[in-house]
Amino acid sequence: MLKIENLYMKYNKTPVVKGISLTVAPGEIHGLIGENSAGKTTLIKCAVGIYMPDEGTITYDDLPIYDNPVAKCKVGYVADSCPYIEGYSIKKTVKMYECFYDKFDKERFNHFNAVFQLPVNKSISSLSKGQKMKLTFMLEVAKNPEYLVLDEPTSGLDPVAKKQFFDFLIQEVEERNIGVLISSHNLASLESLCDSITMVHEGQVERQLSMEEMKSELTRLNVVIEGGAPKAVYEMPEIMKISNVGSIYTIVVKDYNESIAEKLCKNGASFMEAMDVSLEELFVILEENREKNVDKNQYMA
Amino acid sequence: MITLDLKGSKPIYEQIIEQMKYNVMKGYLKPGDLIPSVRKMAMDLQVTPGTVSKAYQELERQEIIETIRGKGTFIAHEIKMEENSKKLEEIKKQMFSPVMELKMMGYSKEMVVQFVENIYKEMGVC
Repeated sequence: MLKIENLYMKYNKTPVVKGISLTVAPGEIHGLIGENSAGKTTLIKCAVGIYMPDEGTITYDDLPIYDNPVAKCKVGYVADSCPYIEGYSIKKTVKMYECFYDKFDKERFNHFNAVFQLPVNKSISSLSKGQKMKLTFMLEVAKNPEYLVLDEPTSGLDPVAKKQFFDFLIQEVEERNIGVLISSHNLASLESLCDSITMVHEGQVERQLSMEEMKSELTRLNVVIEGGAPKAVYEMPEIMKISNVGSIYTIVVKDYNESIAEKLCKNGASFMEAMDVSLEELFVILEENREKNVDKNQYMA
Repeated sequence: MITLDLKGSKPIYEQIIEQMKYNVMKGYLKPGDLIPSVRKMAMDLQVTPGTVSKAYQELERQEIIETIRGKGTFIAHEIKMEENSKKLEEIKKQMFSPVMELKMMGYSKEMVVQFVENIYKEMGVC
């Protein structure tokens, strides 16, 4: 189990991570989402033992990660940019990894590279961003880790490589039961990948749910209201977003249930359909509503 | 293998169950065929792993698929189509209204039987 408990971290005097806790079980894929500068990368850098947190603990199977080679051997880490020794060839880099990590399996590296097809004799400096990302992934997975921590691992990958990457990742989780913590802005992919999600905002956990719970939070209703929606509809507190084309209204509601449907019917709505909201849409709507609330509060103050 | 109607009112996991059964019934999927894992299927269909998991659990309960640890998920070797009297009653009830509708439109009983036969032909089982 990867366990992050009550993590605090500040740069100079600016707090960036303010009391985040989360766990990732073996075999679980846990998604980390949040707007830019929410603290995701700082959290991840603490999680893999690069930064020493100001407060809180990070353990892998009860072993603290910071300055602990035993725990670090359990963890594969794909950062958003990975510095290698530029003058080294891929071959030489692989050799270096073999020296550093007891469990490094060159066969596995070659197995992955049969798909990714990186030129092993070329130097690191000649690789593109996408190629470097592939290299990092292969090196880290070839370490035979028990946990993978991935920070925007698909940035720079073309659609084919992205698919290959996700296939490999799924394979690792299913066959070797590794636990994965993945941060990404690619919400469409996370939606069909993750079992659970932590949503971070300004260094704090805003939501921590299973993907199912997260998705069921909002529902989109396509509704017909002849003659236009009365003011009462716009004032319903459950409504997160409402827009219309003629008398066809698209309404996004929170925690949809029978009583909301009744309320809408009373106000002249005839029902067409209730639909799922994608994770991407959900994220945007939650952000927008937060901004609205902030505006309101400032106005009241 | 499976095409989802994301706008339909039928829950996605039910669509997966139904289409998997359909593929088995048509013989497109045969006993012992390997089917994609939960996570692979979720990726392919662009739905959450939980949704696929729910469908697979139900298919497993009905003994249409079986999971062998470390090997994968397969179409079961002996498929028992579920005998469920409650389900049967429900379907009979559902049949009532289209049959009545057809009668009111003036179709004879023989015609209606013909329609049912056509459906069987379409499914490829006679």
